[in-house]
Amino acid sequence: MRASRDAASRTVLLVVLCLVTVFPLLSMLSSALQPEGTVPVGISWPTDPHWENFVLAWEAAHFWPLLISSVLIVLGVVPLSLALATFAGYGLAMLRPKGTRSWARSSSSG
Amino acid sequence: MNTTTRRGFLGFAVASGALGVVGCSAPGSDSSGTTSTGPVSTSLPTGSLSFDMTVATGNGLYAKLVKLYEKKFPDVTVNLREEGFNSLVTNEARIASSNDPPDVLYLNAFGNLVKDGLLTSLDPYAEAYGWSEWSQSQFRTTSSTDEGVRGSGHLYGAGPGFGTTGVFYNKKLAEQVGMTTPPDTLEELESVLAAAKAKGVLPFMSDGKDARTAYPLQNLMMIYTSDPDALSSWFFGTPGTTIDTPEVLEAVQKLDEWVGKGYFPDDVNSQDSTTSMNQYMSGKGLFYVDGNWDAPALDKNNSGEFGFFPFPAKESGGVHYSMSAATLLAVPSKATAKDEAVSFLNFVQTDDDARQAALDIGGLIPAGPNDANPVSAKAGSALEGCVESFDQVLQENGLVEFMANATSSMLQSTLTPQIQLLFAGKTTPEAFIEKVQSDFESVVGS
Amino acid sequence: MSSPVASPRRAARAAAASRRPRRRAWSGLLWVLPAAVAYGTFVLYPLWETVRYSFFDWDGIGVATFSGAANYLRVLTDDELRLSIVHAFVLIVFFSFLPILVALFVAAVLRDMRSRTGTTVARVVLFIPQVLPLVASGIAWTWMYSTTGPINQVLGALGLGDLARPWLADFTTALPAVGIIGTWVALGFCVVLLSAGIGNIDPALYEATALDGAGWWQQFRHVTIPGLRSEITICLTVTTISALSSFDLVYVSTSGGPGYQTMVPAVEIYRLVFIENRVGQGSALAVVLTVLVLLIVGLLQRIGRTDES
Repeated sequence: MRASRDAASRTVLLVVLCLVTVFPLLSMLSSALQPEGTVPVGISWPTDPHWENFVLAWEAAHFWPLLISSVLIVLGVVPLSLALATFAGYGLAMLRPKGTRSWARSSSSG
Repeated sequence: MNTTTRRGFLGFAVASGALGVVGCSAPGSDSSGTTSTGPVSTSLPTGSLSFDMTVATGNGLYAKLVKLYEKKFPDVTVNLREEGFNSLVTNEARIASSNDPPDVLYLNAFGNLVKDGLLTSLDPYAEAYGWSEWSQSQFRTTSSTDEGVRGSGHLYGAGPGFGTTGVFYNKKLAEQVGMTTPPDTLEELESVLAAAKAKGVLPFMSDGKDARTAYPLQNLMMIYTSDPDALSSWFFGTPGTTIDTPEVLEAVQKLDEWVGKGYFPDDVNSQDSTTSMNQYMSGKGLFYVDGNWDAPALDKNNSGEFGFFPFPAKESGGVHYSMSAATLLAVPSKATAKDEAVSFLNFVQTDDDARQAALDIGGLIPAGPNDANPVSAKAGSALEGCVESFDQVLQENGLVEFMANATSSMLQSTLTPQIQLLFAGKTTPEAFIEKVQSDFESVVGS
Repeated sequence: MSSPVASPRRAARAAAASRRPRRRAWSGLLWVLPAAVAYGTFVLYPLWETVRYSFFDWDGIGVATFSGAANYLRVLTDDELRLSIVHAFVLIVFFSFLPILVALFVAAVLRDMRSRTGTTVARVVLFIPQVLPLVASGIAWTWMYSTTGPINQVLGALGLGDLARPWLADFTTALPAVGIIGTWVALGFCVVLLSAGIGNIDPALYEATALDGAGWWQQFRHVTIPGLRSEITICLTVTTISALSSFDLVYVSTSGGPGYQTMVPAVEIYRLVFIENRVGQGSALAVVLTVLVLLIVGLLQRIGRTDES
């Protein structure tokens, strides 16, 4: 009996923790929907949610060009580093003897 | 980690340190002062020309100026590049020193650019275009000696207009606290502040994160001092000058007294310029010591809601002071289209439409030729107050440089944290001045 | 930490010693070469340059003058620079210790939970902050902490209005407040890693201790925590590095203020190099920070390893 009550209270704690985690995100959403030029005060669902703020932000931040830059970087960096790492991994496996461990560690911390 | 690798690491560290010291040459290159003063021309060759310009994004002001310019000079194409203010300020030295810099570059401050020989001296152009006939006080903030001390020396920049500080006031709240005319003396100002506080109106809106709290401080310093020229050369970063004087102490103590009386927002240190501006626009705070660059925003929603007056003088008939700096467009030494670049600088200072655009879009007040047509702001607007205030202070010879520009690290490393400490009661006026002065000396030398 | 430079040499020596697989060694080295070149160009060379700059007085453009160890001396004697390093260590408590403690508890609770969906939802929710850019987290929390923000709103509603304050601008609460943002971010990472690790603990251990009459807490202390040693070491390593080198969160939420209350080395380095043009001084602080990080990571690795054996 006592054990299950403890389990229940632990689950409640977990739920509270999850709520605390999403709270700042909800607060961010609530301020994103406020009319432009106002300072968010507390957390409240605006009577007239300004969904168009998202469109405005998308345009104001020139999101498309930025996104394209990011994609280009990802396309360049990920395959290249994967290839280099695979080669190196194969090479290190062939070399095997001591030294490889320290090499691997230093590369991963770099 | 075993012993062998550790020894290897140590060896590596020692070797790299030693090599760094002995084996390699110093970083940086000696590109000393190639501020060539070859023949300059005020007339552009015919045929299609172009030049590059990099500026900080500013509500479309520069796009408009470029459009006006290209209309007047149809042969010239301007390749305008706008960057965020912060990223441009961070990179301006690197942009200016690159091998292919823009021909016109927006700068926040000279920094070491003049000392490093990265900017073109505009002296011959000033002569050729006749700028040297104009009221010269307008070129003080854009002049520098070869050693990099600003305020005098050679001219390195010019721009579409000036920033000028003063006091915005909320007309509705002013009425509420019984303020009929803007205060003209410190005494009148303090009685309004007290009246506002008594009525539950916040006397000053301000922000500590971007150190706008330094504006009222500097104004108090100016009206308390008996030697404005000495303070002014401190603001220009002149070695050997000091703010450690009894008069400056009085000024800091006055500000400290205002803070103690609750004349500023409780959370002033957590506000940045955007949040304080938004709060002020939404009606919080009677006064806002700020500059004309925010006037267009204050006028946008409801022109006539806010007014502007110069920071009061110490006594009746005394000088009013305003922190003021020209918007700085410079020509890098390595620019290739210098004549075209300077023709643009001349255009923005002299063309009527360009000057009006600078005011309407940027809130910047143009100076230019003494006989230039005056620009006009909407009657009753905050912007109109700015123009009037600027003219008044200019005539009283009360324009001074921002103290935040005294050294490259003054704003971020000294003034911002120190004034936050002062507002939080974590430092004394004496310690505040001492620290600001010692940081100043550590950069410019004593 | 060990020297990456020493490794190929040692490898070659080892290969020569064993004679037989010499060809294998050569082709092995060939395979490693591209990664080694990339590592040298993008990690070692900049590191080397930073070390070099740190011995000069240089504004980033003009002529540099050699200044010996003066920059390092200033890191050790200048109150602001020294304080920034102290703050980084305070942040370890929030970025590392706190999230790991909470994550241990969460992982243990998740293990007991019967509902599959429940565990998944909890894990996803707790992991969200990890996915967000730190800049976005910083901005969200600046609103949370502001005078009129949700935290003070909640305090007011609970009748604790006296406690309300601008958390990030208050001299006593600023650093812990920044730290809590770090806790919030790091928690998800620790939860995912630790709850994966908990799945690898032999269930028989739990059954055996349960038969012996051990309660939840005893199992937690004597089975879960020892079973997660290596995962905890990884969590410690990663989060400690993020604490010592934290930049985004601090820069966005306080940029080092109020006063110098939340100044950390990374923000100070940025300021020195890019705002004040004191490249040499910034480099010296960067080198000190790098050495500190390497020392601590080395120490944690060693602790983790001795525990394994």
